[in-house]
Amino acid sequence: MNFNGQHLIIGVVQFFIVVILAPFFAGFIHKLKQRARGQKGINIFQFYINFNKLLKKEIVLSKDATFISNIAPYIVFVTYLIILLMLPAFYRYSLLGMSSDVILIAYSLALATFFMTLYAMDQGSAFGGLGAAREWFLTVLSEPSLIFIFISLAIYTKQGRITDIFYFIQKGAENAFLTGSGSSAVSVAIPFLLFISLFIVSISENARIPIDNPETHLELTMFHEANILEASGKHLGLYEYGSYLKLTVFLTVMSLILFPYMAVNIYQIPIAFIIYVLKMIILCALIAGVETVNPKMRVFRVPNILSVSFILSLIAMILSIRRF
Amino acid sequence: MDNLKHKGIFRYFFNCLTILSAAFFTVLSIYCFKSEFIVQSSFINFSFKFDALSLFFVIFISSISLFISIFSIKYGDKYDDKPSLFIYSFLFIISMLILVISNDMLTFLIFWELMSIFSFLLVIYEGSEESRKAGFLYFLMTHIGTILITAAFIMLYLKTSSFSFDYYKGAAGIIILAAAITGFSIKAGIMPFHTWLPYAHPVAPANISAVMSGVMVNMAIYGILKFLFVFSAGSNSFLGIILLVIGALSALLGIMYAMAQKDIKKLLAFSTIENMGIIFMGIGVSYWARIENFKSLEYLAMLAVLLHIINHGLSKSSLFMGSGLIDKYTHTRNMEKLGGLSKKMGQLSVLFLIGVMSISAMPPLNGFLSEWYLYISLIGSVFTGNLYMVYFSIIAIALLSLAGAAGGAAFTKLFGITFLGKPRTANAENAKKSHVIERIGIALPILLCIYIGVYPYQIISGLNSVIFYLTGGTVNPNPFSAVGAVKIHSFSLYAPAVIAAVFTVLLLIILFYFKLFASDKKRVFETWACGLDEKNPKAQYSGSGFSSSIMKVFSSFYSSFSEIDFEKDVKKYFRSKSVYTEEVNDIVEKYIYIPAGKLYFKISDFFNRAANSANINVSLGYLFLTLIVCFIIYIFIIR
Amino acid sequence: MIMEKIAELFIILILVSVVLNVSSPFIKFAIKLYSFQSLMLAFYILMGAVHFNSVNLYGSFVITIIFKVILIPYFLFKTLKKVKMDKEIDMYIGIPEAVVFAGSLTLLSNLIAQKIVKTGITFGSFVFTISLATFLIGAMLMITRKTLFSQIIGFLTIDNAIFLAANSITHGMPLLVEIGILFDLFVSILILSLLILNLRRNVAA
Repeated sequence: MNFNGQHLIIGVVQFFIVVILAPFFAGFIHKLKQRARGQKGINIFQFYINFNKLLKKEIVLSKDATFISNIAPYIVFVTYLIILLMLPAFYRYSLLGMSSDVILIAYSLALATFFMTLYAMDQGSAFGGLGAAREWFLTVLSEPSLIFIFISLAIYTKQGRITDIFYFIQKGAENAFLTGSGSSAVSVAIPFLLFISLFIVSISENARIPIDNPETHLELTMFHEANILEASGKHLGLYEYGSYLKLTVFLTVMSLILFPYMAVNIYQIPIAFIIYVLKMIILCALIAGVETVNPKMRVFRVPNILSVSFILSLIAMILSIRRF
Repeated sequence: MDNLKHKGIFRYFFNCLTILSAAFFTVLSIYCFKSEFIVQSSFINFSFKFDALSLFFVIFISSISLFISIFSIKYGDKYDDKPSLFIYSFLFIISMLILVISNDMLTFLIFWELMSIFSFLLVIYEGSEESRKAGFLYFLMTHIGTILITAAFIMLYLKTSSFSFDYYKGAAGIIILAAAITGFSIKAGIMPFHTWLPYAHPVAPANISAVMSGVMVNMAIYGILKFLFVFSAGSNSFLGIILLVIGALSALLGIMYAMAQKDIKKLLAFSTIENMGIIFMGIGVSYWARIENFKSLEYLAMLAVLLHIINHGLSKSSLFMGSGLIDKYTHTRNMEKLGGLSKKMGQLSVLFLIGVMSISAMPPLNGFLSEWYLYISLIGSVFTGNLYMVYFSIIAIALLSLAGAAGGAAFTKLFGITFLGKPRTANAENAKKSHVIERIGIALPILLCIYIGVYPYQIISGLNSVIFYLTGGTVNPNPFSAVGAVKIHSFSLYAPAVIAAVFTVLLLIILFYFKLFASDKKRVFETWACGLDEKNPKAQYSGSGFSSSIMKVFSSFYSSFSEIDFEKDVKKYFRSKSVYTEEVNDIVEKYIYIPAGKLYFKISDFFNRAANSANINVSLGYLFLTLIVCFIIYIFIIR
Repeated sequence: MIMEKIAELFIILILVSVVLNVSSPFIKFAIKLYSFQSLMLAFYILMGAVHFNSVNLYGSFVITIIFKVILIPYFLFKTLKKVKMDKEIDMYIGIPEAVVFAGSLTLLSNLIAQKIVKTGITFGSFVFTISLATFLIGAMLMITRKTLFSQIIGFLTIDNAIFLAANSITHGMPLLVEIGILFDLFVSILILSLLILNLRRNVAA
């Protein structure tokens, strides 16, 4: 791994673009959902406006809050930023690319969950504890799937770093479909299985409808929102922005599994960027579609669907170990 | 008055003695590195040798007992009435220190037995009914283990006709290894043999629990490493796979049971089972790779093992010390009675938080580092393409990832219920602040945790000599250049220093940004309670509520029992009182140990009746029969 | 090359549909999944037919579409409508456990397949694994489910698995044999449907 000034600069630019785009994707999903229900819908850029508004508001802290309440929003937000720093989106190198181990990413997501749930339990609210318990319930079920998906990718490509993994897939696909050589190294079935599996996991991790419904006004039906019920002002803004970043992390990984195209040099960046945004919009539409046609699930039916995701990634892993 | 003056003298004396002897042993083992000496007495010779493995364990034991001794200088004042605690704990630590440098089987067994006896005395120290029961179970189990270990050593003696460890190299066949590993895994609390651990560790005083959980269980790991990597004749790689699977199962079940506990120390004790399982997984992979000749995989897995021993020892001992402080200043260990301690014990809660993060493998702390190395070696063993190992390592990855996530849940429960929220009872409300020396004792291992987590290169290059001693190779300490997994170089990199630095920098940037560019107004107000002004701390989520949904999904791991008992003849929805009882039983205990105990009683009852109902002739007949059987054994088996 | 990749996808979808079948408690969904699974099987056979240019396989494709994708699900739906059965399927073990068990069966069948089959698979490298896994999971469906309907689904899954395995090892069976098998299957489904109806009537009366 060579330290190259160009890679570093483009890595930083990529990071900033993705971070800035994150609320747009979330807003786009929201808009699509509302349109599908026949509502007029929010402004696509509404989440930027919300964030800006939240920054100007005052914080209301609970009397029972401790130091956790003051640091947890920042740690959660920074953890997602770190993960985004590792991910390649449309350029082959990312800033922390040399240390972008897949297990590290999975455990960093757990770190964010850890602090968010501690925040939830900090104020002594009944809903906070409930949200924390449910969040861990989901994480315990979806974390093994996530790690399995990542390790399947690592075994499939024999690479451990997420930047290398997708570069390897891209290279293999290019070789196979353009020149026809080395086709035995490429598989359609493995990315397909991993995509479905990751889709299920990202729906559960990002509080989307068949599993969670963050839009209700009943706290008892919430998973994610119950955790941050006590947050206000800039803390709430950080949490909200953090959830957009998390969604973007999952969507980016999904987009790279779906169609790995990353720029390897500076001239390919515009087209890679356009393709990236297109892929993300397609995925957003997919998520919005799933959210529109499905009703919310009973909580204890969630393990059924998450176990399916786990087994799909297991099958993908079996397919990849058959190849050597 | 005079009595009061001398009250703490034992405490000060023996804790200082422990510190001094720990320092002495460390200096001695570094100074006498690679030398051996024999202490001769009239009837037995004690021989000692300082090799790399001993050095590692001596430094490990003495540093952790140093922290614990600093802690118990102040913490121990509640045990001043019965100062035998300090004498026993001193002897306990000394016997462990001598155990790891002993170089013949008699010395080893004598100090192993002394260690067991002193720890037994410490378990029953508090003298309650619970502790006596736990102590008896511990005594029984640990002696079954000792019998197996002794049997393994006797078989080695028969094979080599020597007492010294020097002659045992490459002598142990599969039966000897199986006996030794079973015996040692009883001490380590690996899954089918773990039943004593969750009873014995919590009832001891907290500083002793810290030694037992952080250090003593690792003596079993020392024995296993010695047998598998020094004494082993190296024939059967399937043993490694068995160790891997057993380790993975105890990692998962240990953390699953930890999640169900209400008692803080019991939760930590079950978490010890989990971590021992993780260490066993590493040993399994390493041993398998040794036999199958995948060199770099062997070194990598061994690094994971050694690193995890250190990490678990540091974080678990600090957490046990923390739980001791909670016990001391609130007089309860039950999470359901605690809550809101963070405001009363601010510094302790920060230390406890870091300990919890370390043990639940949150990056960028040290717990994650060793787990990461284990993941990498498991992926490496998938890459070997060996027909069986591939499948078993996939299963192990699945179980390990589930255990990792469940560990996060269990320790969120521990920290969140104990330290956050409102105080649930008067015990928590009236908590006092702990003494600064106690906090220093906890802070030192925590600082080491952070140091190892963020900058592990130095400690890895230190561990390389141990890895070289055990496996004959070394690992590149610098994750920047290469972590050689099997077949491919620089498979994956994790640069904890970079991640931690970027994390800190970003955190500072974000903090300042939001300080400057966002509104900084703050208002302190009550927590929202649906508009009610009822201030009932019981309305918070309880610890058992926190874990109940996860337990419901994984109900096949538990044999739990719960019922709600309502008062009779009241209105359906407006009941004045209801009692909820919940009981979580260990499935291993329920389905193996209790039936086995019943069977034992039945058999002994049968023999009892057969023997007692007989007259003198039959008794003489039994004696005669025994004699004949002994002769037959002598003639046909031993000769 | 691309043909082979797509055939691989079809085979995988067969296994995925079985796993989904294990995870879903709805009978209607299970029948739809069976239909989908048969469609994937048919496409796989079509791929083979194009690849080997064999008339037998083309015939087999058409028959599979007619019988397994259309007729059998149709009759099952009809029976379902008549008996007005509960939508939820009763099971002896919980769904997550069953799904994880299905996954371990897949692992096991991969191990067996690696042990047994060294060479000889012509088209799509892991057809044998998938068919074995489908077979075992189908058997598991029959064992763990309580209602007769879902046992029929398990039986049909097993039949599909055997069909797949046969097609993977040979270059397609003779058309006559295949038609015979399919008619057998069809008749057995009819008989089972009649059985369900009669049972329902007798028990209900």
